[in-house]
Amino acid sequence: MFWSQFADNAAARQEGFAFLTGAGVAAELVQELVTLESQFNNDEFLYTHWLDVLLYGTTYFGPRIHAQFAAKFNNLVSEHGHGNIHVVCHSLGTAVVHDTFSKLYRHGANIFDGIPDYLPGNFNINTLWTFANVSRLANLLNHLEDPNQSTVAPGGNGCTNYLYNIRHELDPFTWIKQYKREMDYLTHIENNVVRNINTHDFYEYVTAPEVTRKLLLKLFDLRVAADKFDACVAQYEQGSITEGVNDLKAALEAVRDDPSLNDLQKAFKACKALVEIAKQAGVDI
Amino acid sequence: MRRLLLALLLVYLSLPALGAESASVDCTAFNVEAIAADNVYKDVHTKARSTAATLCESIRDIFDGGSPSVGKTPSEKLQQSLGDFGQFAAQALINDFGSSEVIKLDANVREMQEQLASTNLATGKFPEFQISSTDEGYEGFFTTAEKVKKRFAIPLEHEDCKRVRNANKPCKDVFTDFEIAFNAYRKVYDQFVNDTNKQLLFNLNRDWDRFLDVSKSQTGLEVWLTTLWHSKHFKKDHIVGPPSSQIIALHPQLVYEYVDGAVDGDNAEFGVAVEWLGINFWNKKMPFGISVASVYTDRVSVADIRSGIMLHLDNKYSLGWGYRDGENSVYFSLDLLTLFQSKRQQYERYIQQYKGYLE
Repeated sequence: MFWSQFADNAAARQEGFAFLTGAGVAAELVQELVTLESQFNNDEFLYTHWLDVLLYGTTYFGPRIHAQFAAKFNNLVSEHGHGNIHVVCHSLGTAVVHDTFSKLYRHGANIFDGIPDYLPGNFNINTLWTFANVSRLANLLNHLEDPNQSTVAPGGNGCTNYLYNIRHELDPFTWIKQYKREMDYLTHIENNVVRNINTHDFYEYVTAPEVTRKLLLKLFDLRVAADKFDACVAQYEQGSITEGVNDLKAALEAVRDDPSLNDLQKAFKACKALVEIAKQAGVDI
Repeated sequence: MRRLLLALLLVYLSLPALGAESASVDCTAFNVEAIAADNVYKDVHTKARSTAATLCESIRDIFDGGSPSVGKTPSEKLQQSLGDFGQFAAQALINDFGSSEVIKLDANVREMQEQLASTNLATGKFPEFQISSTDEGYEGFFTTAEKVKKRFAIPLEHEDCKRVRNANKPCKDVFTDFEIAFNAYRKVYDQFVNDTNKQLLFNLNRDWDRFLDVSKSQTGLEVWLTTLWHSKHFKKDHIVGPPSSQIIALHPQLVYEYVDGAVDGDNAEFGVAVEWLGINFWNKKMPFGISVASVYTDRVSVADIRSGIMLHLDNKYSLGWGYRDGENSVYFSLDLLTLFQSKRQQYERYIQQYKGYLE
């Protein structure tokens, strides 16, 4: 499933926004998007994801996706049983899953009320994995249920038995409105190893040793011995970029604490320096 | 004329939208699967089956016995059955592990028992037992737990598990046996809720499909404005269907206009129109819309631009009236965007990147 999704993503990115022409979008808007697209060709992951978030959060295609995803989810629950379901979502998918589940799992749900819903706790899935969680960012646009208060949480008042939230310290999509909810059986995993300058990349997220270890445990009941895990970590960190990362981290923290122009300039400089280091090290950019 | 239009508008607005269909309950088709011969909790499963049968009959009685009323309490028979089952299952686990120094499940089991004794069919909690892997072994819990949040630890191997009913089974197997036996009581509940949701979600998606297929074409601006206009609808705390109406704003049209006062040969001309602002009720029995519009045609004998109103019928046909300097005109239009656009295609392209979530 993931690989076909990646392939589709790549194809859609190559095609760009040209498909919107003649598809009910004002010509000026298309022109703006295409112009924007050409300006950002070297940073494709950034603009596609930011604009996807914008489209999802501000148009009725968002609610349409909720209905379609809810139907698909309901079919899977009917077929396999809710307790056997593990949901893995990344980036905008975290917002889609959050918004859909918060509308499906409703306090006060009544099985005779003619509304498609589940009572929290009664139909909990096994685990929910959110990678590069942007649900709070999308919430700024669509103003649906607040991810810090919603039923998308583990336990008897939630929708899942376990929730794993994984972010990369240097993934820009997780800097704004970071998901930090604290609850029993909600685990935050933070990665700080840079092997690919695109820290938002799902492959990089899912192959982080701590994440893989938890996935093996919860999905397949497999436990990785401590010595083997240490060996995995050492191998994973081979080829990572360490030089420059700390400078960028310090600069970003300064921006977060006090977003002055001077600090922003420092952060951009540190980012550029990191890219140069990565290029010289032959890292995939 | 204005009164007639107003009357027509009111009639169309009062026509009902598409209704939802409902599921039904067939307890004769329902059957709890047989349990493995070596399951150590066969007695719990037997009790679960009879509870499931009572649960099914209660759902059928409420659902098929007429209009189900919100908040209706279950029958006394069901209450009794669920309470007895909770007590029986709790006692089974307490008997087997009550004295264990390692597997401390008393508090979890008591909460389950309390929840089952006080639940109600429409809005109540139906505890489900789960066992999940941890670094050290496993942990067991009832998914509906609210008071007792700590789950009880289960070691990979322990004598307390092997002793259970003299089965000599590892801990995981013992608790998996309990999971299968216990959860059987709510199979009919799961099936009913999932089937009901399936039907309701099918209806909602059918409405969305209709909206994408037949409603009036919209620009990106109109999509955004329609979303804003119906923000209360979209912010509801449950999954919703499409908007009931569409906002029209700065919408381009190709028109064929007739001006009676123009000189012969210049009466009828092709031109363009812009709908400044309006609304379209796409989902009425006879879809209807109205907007304020201006039309431009290159004329010799009269002014090029006239303004007036445009009426839409059946999301496809548009008829307009324009006026300027004492000259009236009528026109019909061909929606420019309809020539190029399928909203469904627009949507499908948009979600192309997210196919993985939908397949």
